[in-house]
Amino acid sequence: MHKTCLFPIGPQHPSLKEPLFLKLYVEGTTVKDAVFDLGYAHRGVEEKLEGKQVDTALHAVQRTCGICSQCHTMAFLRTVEGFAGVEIPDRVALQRVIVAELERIHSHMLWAGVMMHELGLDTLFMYFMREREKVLDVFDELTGNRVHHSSDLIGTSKRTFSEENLEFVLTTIDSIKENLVRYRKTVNSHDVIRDRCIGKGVITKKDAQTFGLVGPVARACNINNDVRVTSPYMGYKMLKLKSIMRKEGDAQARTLVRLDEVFASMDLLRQACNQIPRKSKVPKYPVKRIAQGYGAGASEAPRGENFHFIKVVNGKTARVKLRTPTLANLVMFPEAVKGADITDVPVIVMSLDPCISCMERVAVVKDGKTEIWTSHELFRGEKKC
Amino acid sequence: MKKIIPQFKKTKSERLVSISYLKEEEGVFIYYHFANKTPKFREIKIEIGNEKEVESIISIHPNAAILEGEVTEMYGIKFPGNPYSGKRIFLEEK
Amino acid sequence: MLEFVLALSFIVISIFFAGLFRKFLARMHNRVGPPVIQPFYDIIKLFSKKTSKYRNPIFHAVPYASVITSVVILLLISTAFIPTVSIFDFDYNFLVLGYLFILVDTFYIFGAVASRSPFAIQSSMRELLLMLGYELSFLMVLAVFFAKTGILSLADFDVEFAFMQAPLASILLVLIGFVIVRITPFDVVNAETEISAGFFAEYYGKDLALLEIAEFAKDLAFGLMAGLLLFGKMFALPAALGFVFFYALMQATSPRYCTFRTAKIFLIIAILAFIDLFLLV
Repeated sequence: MHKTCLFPIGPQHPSLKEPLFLKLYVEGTTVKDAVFDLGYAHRGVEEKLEGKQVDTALHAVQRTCGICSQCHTMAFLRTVEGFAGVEIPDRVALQRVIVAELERIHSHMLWAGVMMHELGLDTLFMYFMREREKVLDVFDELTGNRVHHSSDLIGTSKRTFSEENLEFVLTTIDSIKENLVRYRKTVNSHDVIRDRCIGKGVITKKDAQTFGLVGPVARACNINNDVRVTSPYMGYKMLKLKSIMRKEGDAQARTLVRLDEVFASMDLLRQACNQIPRKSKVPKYPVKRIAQGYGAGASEAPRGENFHFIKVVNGKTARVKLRTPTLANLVMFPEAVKGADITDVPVIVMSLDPCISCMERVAVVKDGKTEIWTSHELFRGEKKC
Repeated sequence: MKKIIPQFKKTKSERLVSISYLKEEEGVFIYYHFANKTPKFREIKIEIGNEKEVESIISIHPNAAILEGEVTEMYGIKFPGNPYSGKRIFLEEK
Repeated sequence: MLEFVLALSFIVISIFFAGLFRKFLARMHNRVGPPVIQPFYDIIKLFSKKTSKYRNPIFHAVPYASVITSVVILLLISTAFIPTVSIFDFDYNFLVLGYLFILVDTFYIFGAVASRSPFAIQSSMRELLLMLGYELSFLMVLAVFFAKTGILSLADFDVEFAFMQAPLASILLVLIGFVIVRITPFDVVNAETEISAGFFAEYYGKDLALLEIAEFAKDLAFGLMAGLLLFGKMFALPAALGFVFFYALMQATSPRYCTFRTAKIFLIIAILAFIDLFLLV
């Protein structure tokens, strides 16, 4: 029997953008077994959100993750406005959709750039980032922030987008579309990229259904689970869209699904900007107090289905549970990597698109007693679990 | 140990979305959420009282592994039969 | 004495060429890039950092052995340009110089295995696999040049534009240069994203500074030797600059092949070099 040796990917590794410890047990250059280890980016979000007023909780939930901040807002507001019975006007619904689709575009471009860096092609990484900067400029113009947009409140938005803002959105999209078409053609036709991505990390449709995978990972295996299509919410009820699906289930299919979603998002943005009622404004005062209720709701993040379960008792939150898409796909990381060569491991892990800072949010409530940990105690490990 | 598998037999065709633990005035509950073709999420609410061990539904839904492991690490409820239960996933040992 | 100092200045030129490589690459990426003398700052900073913890004698001897070998190759090749000096009692046989290139890589393998780190060991496995292909073909290609022109010593090599006499061998020499100088698409040995840059993963401080100097010296030595063989003595240094630009262009425009495909390509290169040599004899 051959002994296997431990090959660590992480916690610090050039191929990972966030800390994740994936232990590979390697024999020669083939991976025989893989085990993951987490906990390097946890911040105690769920514990912080107990006993808060609902709009304070919204403020914290929006800042769970930098890349997918608007999708957490959408899921939270869908849930809370659902069980509290708050109606939102068309303009607010469409404004939220505009920010969400722009966020999907910038997240997929960031992912595509990092994927090219894994393959060794740094030039395409720089080119994707150059196009992405224009989208971040649009965010700056619309909401005031480049990253945590935070432009919505319960029942309303913080500002009305003017005619010039909508024009700026449309001209930016048109200016980046031509370059993106060219980059997609490179990814689909370059010899070396095809050689390194086709047939690697195959996930079958049966596995995807058994493990309940979400997002572009499942859509590349021909499962339709896009929340915007199966259960439309907010502005998506007024827009026409189709899910993008592929059959092969390997790394190349996942890449192409994400790149095609960028073009579909641009189409949605054009529809939304044309359909916004021009003369209306957003309501001036948000809903301040929500007394009682509980419910569940989901939104479509760039990485999959983002699920929130919220319970409000006597005006304060009793529990806010966030189940992010990377947590649902986490089971697949060791399975997809088994049997692959070490050369292919960064490509496979990156094609499953981990967003670790969304995924790690836990803190401890033990034996019914709540312990509040300061950040110093967390870092130094003084409190034992 | 609390036995709960008979209540889940009908959920075989649905997808398990999340498992949450909640302590309320009426008692201690675990909420299971499922997704199917209809727009709303279906929930199954199980009261566990003072029990510390609950049967794992990993035989019907394999992706319950991580979700139950999270509940174990945060609240101390054990799920025998789940390989991730009791193993640390999110917090560091010190 | 003056010639000796002139030869030593080639070490400074090699570090300068490394900075030029980074600047060309940055401009092709549509960004500004670091200043051209950045590698000097890097090496000075590395000398001021704490050195690696003691592991075993081989691990610590490797940086010194490789930097001495590398600098010796560079001095030998550069003194070939200066006709009247004979610092070393050596006939500048270029097959021996080819062996010295192989020796530097062998020292890296020793150091990598002695460090017992999984990244370095993977890197040394890949290097051993590739050596079957490229080292053999490197020596055969050099032998083709000797056979075509009849001159074995680098100091007496006064044929201009020898690439016209041996076109296939010239192309193969440039391809082999991709592995020796570590440029994509054939830089699996130092793949940054997969194995955290391989050989040097466990070195830091003064040891890493010496290894970086060894890499820079080896790169310029290869560039000068290829320029000398292909274009002649007058054009060797401009040819080396041209190679820097060409390698930056290839680094910017190709992704990395996987290990087995690279090994297959170099096996084919070895077969082609053998056929070329065989047809002459």
